[in-house]
Amino acid sequence: MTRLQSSPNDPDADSGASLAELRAQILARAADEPAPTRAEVGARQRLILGLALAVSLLIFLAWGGLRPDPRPLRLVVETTVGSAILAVGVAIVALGRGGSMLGRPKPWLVLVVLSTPVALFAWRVLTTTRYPGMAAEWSTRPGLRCLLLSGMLAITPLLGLLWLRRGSDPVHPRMTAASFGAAAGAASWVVVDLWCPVGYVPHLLLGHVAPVVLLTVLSALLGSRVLRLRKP
Amino acid sequence: MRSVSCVPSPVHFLAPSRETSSERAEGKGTSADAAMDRYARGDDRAFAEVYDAIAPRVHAYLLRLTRNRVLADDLLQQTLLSMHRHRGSYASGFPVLPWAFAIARRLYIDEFRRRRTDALWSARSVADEDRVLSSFADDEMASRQTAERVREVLAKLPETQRVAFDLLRVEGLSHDQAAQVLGTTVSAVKLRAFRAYEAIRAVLKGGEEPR
Repeated sequence: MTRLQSSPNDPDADSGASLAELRAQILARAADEPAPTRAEVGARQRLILGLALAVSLLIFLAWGGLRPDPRPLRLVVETTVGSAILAVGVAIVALGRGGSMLGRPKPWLVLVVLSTPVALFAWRVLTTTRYPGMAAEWSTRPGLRCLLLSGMLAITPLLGLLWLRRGSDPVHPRMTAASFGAAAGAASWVVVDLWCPVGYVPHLLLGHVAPVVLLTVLSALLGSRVLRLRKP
Repeated sequence: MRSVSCVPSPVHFLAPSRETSSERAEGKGTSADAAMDRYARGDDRAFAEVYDAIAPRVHAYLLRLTRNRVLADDLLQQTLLSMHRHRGSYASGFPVLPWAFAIARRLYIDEFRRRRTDALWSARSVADEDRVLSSFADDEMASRQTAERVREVLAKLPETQRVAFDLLRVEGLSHDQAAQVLGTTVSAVKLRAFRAYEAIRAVLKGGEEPR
């Protein structure tokens, strides 16, 4: 009889179903229950994320699309390129698994979650203050529209990501989900940068930083339930 | 319900063979990784190879955690079925073993939490453990007592240190694999394990355990 190598002092090795029976039972259950292959999962991921990004693009275009004025074109390019580089970096760390099925270590994810809004905000302020008048107060633009636009742009890709990874994280589902939220928020920041000319710091905090933080928190709350490994 | 012993010898705690650990950490992992890669691509027969490569170690790990053969069998089944369900997300070259250990550990923790509120379960576990301990042969008593002292020390350690010690010294995972299972960095695992070693060494030298 095939035996699993359990404890060397196993006093009841003969109890219960034999290990050969257990093996046969597990293999039979797996055979009875179809599971998608890598190719099928890849196709599903491309479809879901493609649709989610298309929805975000349509929302952006419906909202008015690219609106550089009254900013100098160079400022728009600087802020967008810098924030895009940061957003890509965040996405690589948050969505990549770092050579392990268990994702990146928690300290990495914590670092990404905490540093993303800070880095994006710092970049925007640094670039804006180099251009006179671009950080002036806009009393009519407190940031609520940017807050709403950021949320609308990010929510569909974020939900898509959470759905694709649902029930799969046995180690730190909440922090993984929080990093997804930070990545979605960073991506929406880049797009909102193309639309919003306001560089006034209170506006940036409410309209640009707050949505990244809110998306991160919301995703962490959802993710602890959605991403958590489920009993088969 | 019957339970099994999971008390390793004190020698095992102190000096597990480096070759054995290395073989267990590297050799098996490679064949499991290759089989899992084929399974993820759709070769259904490869699941038996994945099972044979990882199930013995995961089952032994679960036996140690649960001290209950029936529960260990059940959790092993859930672990393997979970891997089966997520085979499509397996990326080529990723190590399978830490993934399997992490799933098994999570399922065990969830099961433990579910049962913790069940007073009957707690009472039965204690009774099972007492029965197992009383069945040991007399000539093993000395080593058993030492092992028991080590277990007591381990039980008093913070959860993070105890688990790191288990994965490295008992299950024979590499630092990198243990870090993956625990979702932390290699240096954090080394630090946790070092603190656990220090506590155990102090006890085995006859001194007081560090506070």
